[in-house]
Amino acid sequence: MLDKKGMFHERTEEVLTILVVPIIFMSLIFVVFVVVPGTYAKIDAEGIDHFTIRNSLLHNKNCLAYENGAVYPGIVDINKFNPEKLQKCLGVKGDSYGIILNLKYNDINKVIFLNERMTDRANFCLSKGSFKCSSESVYVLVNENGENNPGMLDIRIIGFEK
Amino acid sequence: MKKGIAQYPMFVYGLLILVVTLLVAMLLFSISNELEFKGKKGPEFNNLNIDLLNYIRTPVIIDSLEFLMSDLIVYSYYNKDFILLNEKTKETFNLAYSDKCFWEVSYAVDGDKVNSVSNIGETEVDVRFSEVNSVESRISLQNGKEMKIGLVKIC
Repeated sequence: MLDKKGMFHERTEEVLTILVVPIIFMSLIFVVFVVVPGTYAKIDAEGIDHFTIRNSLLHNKNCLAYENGAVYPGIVDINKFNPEKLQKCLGVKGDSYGIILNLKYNDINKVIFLNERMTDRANFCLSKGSFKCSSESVYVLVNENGENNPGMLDIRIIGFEK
Repeated sequence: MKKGIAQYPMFVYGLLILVVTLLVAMLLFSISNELEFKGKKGPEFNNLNIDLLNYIRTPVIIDSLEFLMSDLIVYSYYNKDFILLNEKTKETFNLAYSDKCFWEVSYAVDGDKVNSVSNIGETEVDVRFSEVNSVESRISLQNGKEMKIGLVKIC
């Protein structure tokens, strides 16, 4: 039989157990549903893929940017405006991205299709589906034989919705 | 009996530490949660800076002599005559944006606007409901001054 001391001891432990177990349980719920979701970083990177392609085209010396010791972003070297060089620079192939470049300057109009597997699907951009397309016109200077001529570069990018 | 009584303050201390820890964690992560990166739209996601950069270095031919637009801007500022600059600017941006967008180029020195040119009244864009993008660039002048050139585009 338990004496008075023993009963008090046991009751104290019971009370503590009744309090401690729900507190631990509630703390776990709090950590899982409040603290952990708070640690998620929200990075909204929508459109960054198309932006990166456009930036590479205009800023990268291996793409279109004119180079004369220094690299001039936004100045298009007409000698680099050919599908082979741009394909090599951007590395788009298969079901990744298709790019249609339309360069207009001095009454000249030049069009380049990069990765025809995707550019052939340009009509799918009209419907809301799995395709994500963007189109932007940029005011550029076209360097031809050392001379800069004003022109417009239309960049159309066809890709899949992520 | 002593052991049982001694467990109460320990329990209260433990509970207090747990509550304080959880509060600190909540406070800490609620702050970091506000550091949200939004890069959906804005000048950094289009090539307006390239447009402005190329405008400044656009070749301009005056009396069969070739200059850059930046030379004409500085020349116009010191001669207080912006007629030719405004004409060449309109030529450039009408080529770039046609009438699909509203655009405005403003020039300011030491915070004072010295000139501005736009296609206001020549475009049907409703500026109230369209996305506004703007960029700035600077040109060095004499006596350590600099001119701030701003481009606003609304499409």
